Amino acid sequence: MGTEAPRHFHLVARDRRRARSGTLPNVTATGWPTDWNELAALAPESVDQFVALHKVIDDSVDPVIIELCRLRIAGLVGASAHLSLRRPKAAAAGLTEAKIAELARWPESPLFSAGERACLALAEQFCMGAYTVTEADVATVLEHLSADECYALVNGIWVMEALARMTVVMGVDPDPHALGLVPAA
Amino acid sequence: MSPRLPLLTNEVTALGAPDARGLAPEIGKARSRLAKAVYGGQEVDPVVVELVRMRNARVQQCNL
Repeated sequence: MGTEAPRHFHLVARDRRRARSGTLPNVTATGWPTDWNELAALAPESVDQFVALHKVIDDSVDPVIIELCRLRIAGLVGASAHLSLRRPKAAAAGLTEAKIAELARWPESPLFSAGERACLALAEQFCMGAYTVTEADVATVLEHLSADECYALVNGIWVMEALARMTVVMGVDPDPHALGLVPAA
Repeated sequence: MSPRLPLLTNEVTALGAPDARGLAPEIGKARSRLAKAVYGGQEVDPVVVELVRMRNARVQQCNL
């Protein structure tokens, strides 16, 4: 440990409750962040680079597949704020609200292709624990995606899971604008 | 550890992991910049960062 305690160690649940109840009107760098901007201010370079990575993922993975994975992961980890956001590129590529509504039933729903099922299965296993992903899980994805695409997908799953879990733990909603998302219609 | 994805090279990284840099290189670069920001940042004690990294690696059965 260094001689000076990092400021994160001063963040306590009490501050978070006080901030939400309005009894902590001026949240400082030592208070618990109440929105994305305050969260980003705690570690600006890290958050900037995370958002930049999110953008690269957005440009590298099939928009429908990564959006399905993002929403499925959000549902699994309880990131409810993410469930009301949408990626416009996915809608433009044909992802419908009817299909999103069926997402929890992807194994038996006829709306999902074999490739989408393979990717969602990998995403779910990854969420439960990366060590639970099997050779067969990856091999099934590789029946539908190239190695480059599969690698990009795994990175995308990692980023979406990290983002969802971070916002759940911090109790902060994601910033749609920063992440290229919009509220669902 | 044997790679599950076909890689462009049989080389390994300095840490002994299969070298996947040839796959989706833009993602690799962005990941490197993120890692640099996290590990180089002053927000969290570096010992804590390393302990969390190693603990998580053990839980996820990652040899690194």
